[in-house]
Amino acid sequence: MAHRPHQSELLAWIEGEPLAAEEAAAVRDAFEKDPDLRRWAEAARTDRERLRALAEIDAAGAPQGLAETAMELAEREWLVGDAFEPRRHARRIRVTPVRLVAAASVVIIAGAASLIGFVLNPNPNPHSNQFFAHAPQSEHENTLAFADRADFERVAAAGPSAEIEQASARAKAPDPSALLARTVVGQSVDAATDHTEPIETEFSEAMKFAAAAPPAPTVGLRGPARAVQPMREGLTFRLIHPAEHAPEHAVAPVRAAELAREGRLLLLVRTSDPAAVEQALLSRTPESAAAARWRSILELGNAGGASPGSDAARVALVDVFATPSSLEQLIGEVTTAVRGAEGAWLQEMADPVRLEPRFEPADFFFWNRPPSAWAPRTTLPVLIERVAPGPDAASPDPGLAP
Amino acid sequence: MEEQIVAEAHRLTERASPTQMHAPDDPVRLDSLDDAALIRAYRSSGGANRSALEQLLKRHERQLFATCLRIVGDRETARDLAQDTFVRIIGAIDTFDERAKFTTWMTRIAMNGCISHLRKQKHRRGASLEAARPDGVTPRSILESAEPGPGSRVELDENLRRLARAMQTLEPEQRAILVLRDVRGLEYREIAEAMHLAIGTVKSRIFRARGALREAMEAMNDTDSG
Repeated sequence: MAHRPHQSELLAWIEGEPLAAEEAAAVRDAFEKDPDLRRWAEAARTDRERLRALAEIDAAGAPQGLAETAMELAEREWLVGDAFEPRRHARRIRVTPVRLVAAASVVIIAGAASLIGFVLNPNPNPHSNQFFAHAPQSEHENTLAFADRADFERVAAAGPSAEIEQASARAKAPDPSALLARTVVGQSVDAATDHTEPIETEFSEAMKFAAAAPPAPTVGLRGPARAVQPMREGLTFRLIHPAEHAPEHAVAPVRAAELAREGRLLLLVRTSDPAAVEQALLSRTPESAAAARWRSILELGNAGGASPGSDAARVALVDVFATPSSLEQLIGEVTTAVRGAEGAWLQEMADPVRLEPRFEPADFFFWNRPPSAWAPRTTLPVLIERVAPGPDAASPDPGLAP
Repeated sequence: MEEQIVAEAHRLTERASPTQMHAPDDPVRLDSLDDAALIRAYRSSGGANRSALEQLLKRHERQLFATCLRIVGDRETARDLAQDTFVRIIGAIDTFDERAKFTTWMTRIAMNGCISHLRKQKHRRGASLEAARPDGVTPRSILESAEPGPGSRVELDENLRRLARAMQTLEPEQRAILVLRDVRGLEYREIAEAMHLAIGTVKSRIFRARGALREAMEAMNDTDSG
């Protein structure tokens, strides 16, 4: 019994290709059993023959001079530079309607998802959403998160170290504000921070009172002793002695937000109890901690060191959103903490001081914050000046006080 | 034999100079060389032996035109595509790998150009036979123009006309593979090489293309008789 013909055998029969005896028998047998198949195969064979005939007619009717014309075309292209060279098919991105629609869909879906997420968020306040709500509230929950705080509290309570005080006394430094204001004002920040020749030679001795003084010992702190990284001298001087810092130069929060973005904003705090202010900054409520984060003064250096009662100043850096509301909140908290002293003011600096702000992963999802906080996080220097205790003085800008 | 061909090619190359490019006896002598020898002659002359290249292209121009015509179905377009294929070949002749047949290489370039043209055309307008373009030309009129021109002096019978129209209803790939097999007369192996397919796949596709052509022919017969 002949086997059923495969399509390759049928194709061979249609095209007149030689078939093995068994294959030819199978085809013949199939044709006998299925006359329709036979008719179909014969018609296909006829199609093939007609197609070949058509090809001959086409070739006979081909236009003359195709090769010559092509040679001329190629020669013309060659004359303008790119023929007779392998064609380089530059990969171009074609903007087809399908691709355009796909790209638009992705953008629309992403935008809609963000909007829906924002709208459906039961509590869009970033201070209470899950990112921040689960932040450790005390050192009992997370010791590591509060390690810096413990270090700072210990140092703040002890006040400036005895070594720093002794060094300052030995140096017999003149009034630093008078000295530095005369010198650094008008210099660029880079010049001040880079220890350029004039600054170093003129004030090398006098300026040792602060940043160049040996850091406070960390004996007694938990864990291995940490090296205190003093702030660069020029930067410290610049922060301590901005041009004419005084309450009458305080700026309003709206203007302050712009200055903060430019790195030209300073928070000046005058108090008889710097440790209390630092303590207040450290012990800010968890709600405010989300908007303004304290950066340990131990990591950034301590510009203080003068004996109590002098004009020595302490500098800290606070991460804060550059928005009027955040700044108002910060200054309000600091003002509340200032006891028996003058107060706190936002103040413009003549030249910007570039301080790298801390980047939080949550900053990337800025839309999770309320629109009022859609601003870059900036690092705000806080200058804490010690003043002699005196009668309570009213803030020069009572409107900023809460 | 091969050495003789190469020697002849070199001899012709030496003779070829800009002033002798159109020497009347060159085509006659070059006619005796096969495709590979002509390409070698052209290459070894650094492109100066223009006659060798021209001879090579002339040898295949009719077949190339017929191939393009049966794939795109329009004489004018077929002529443009054939010329474009030649220009591409001239530009890339230095990259031609002599292990392959020149006709296979040329066919592959032509087929790619034709299929690319058909796809663009398909995107540009609907597939309906009666869908008119802004210039008033309908696909049916294009099919009419697929028939040989008056220069062929051959009258097509009705069956050939139907076949030409039925060919234009096939998918470009099906049309191309039938053209390679029947119009170009290529072997399965050559088709497989030109289309980067396995031989078994080539056979299968040819069989399906023949089936599709048959269906189109029968549908056309039904329409005409109805």
